[in-house]
Amino acid sequence: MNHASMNHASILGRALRDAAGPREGSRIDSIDPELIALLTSGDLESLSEAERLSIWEAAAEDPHVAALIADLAASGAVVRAPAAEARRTSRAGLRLALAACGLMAVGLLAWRIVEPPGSAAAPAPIEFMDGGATPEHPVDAATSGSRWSGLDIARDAALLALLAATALLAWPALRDFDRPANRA
Amino acid sequence: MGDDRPLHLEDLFLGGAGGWRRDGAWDAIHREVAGPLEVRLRRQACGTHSPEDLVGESITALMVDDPDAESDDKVRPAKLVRYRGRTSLVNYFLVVAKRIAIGSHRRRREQAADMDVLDPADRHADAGDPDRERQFDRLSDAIREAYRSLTARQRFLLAMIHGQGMPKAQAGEMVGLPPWGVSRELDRIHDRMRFALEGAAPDSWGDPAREVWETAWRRCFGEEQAADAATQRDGGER
Repeated sequence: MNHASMNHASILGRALRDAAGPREGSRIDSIDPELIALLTSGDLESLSEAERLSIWEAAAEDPHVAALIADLAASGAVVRAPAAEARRTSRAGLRLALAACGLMAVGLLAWRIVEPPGSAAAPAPIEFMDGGATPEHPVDAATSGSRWSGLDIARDAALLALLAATALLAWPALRDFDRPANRA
Repeated sequence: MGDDRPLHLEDLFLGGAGGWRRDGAWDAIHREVAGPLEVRLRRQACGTHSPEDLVGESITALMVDDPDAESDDKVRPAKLVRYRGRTSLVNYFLVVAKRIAIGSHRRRREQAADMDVLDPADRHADAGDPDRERQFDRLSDAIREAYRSLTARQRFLLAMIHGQGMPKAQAGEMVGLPPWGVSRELDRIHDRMRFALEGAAPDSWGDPAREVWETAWRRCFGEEQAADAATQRDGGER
């Protein structure tokens, strides 16, 4: 950069410094932390127009406020509000799913206890036209009532699936349940 | 609460716990906040402070006597300053902690030296030449007025993008502009500055001047931060 442009830079630098207001003190001590947190988390919608203006002006006039915003935004240390909300929502959804799976599993288990597999009523004996009731295969007829029906198999498969889902959902849904920040 | 919409009621409750005369309320706040806050502060430049110190100082800074509250034993209960539950308590403490770090560093530097953005060589070159000094003042005034005529949003964009080196998309997000709209807005700002400057100093604005203008921004706003960061690093290494 030659001398002329350096001189130009000095002029601009002084003008900007003057425009930014007096350097004594800093607005950083009076800036509202909550507004900065909302701005740097990208939650612009939560700020009113007046609040936005106040932060923009403070950052434009005070390099320390600008640095505070830039540092927080660059580090990503301020958790984005939508993400936090989404996490709470997803945790609530997980708990709902856990409750649903648990209830259905308990219901199916109760049904299984009341009606064990193979306990369904045996089919009525075939009525032969000649009045006789002698089946062609008496052994099959005698044991057909204790066989697992398709419904029994489906019910047990569903029960196993629900128990597995309940076990899988339990940890993520109930983790840190006692922490206030995680109460959905 | 007024028109504010508390999004973090549970944190608001916790934050307000200090306002009640409960034993260990501040301990509860410390237990809740200190862990995640320290983790986040380790990602930040904290100057000469350790994250643990900043956590403690943040809580102390936010713990004020509540003049509105009354008690029989003449000991006023404390409350958490300003917290309204619009952001999470950890975010709130984080900004306060960072503010304390920057604020204390600023005060130390102000005691150490008085910063001047003017280059000593330029001052020397301009000194003693009344015509150049007048031209210097005229152009400086024109730029200042042009800058002041910008909206707060436009000045914020300049401060963050040119002054702090923030990516355009990120700065745009903070003013509600789409990524593709930030460059257009910057062009508009530069045009406005050019129009304002052409009256005071014809032909003074062009691509070289624009580059210099950005350099000036960094010198005005960025240089101090760079020095701060270097000092903070030194402090951190110690």
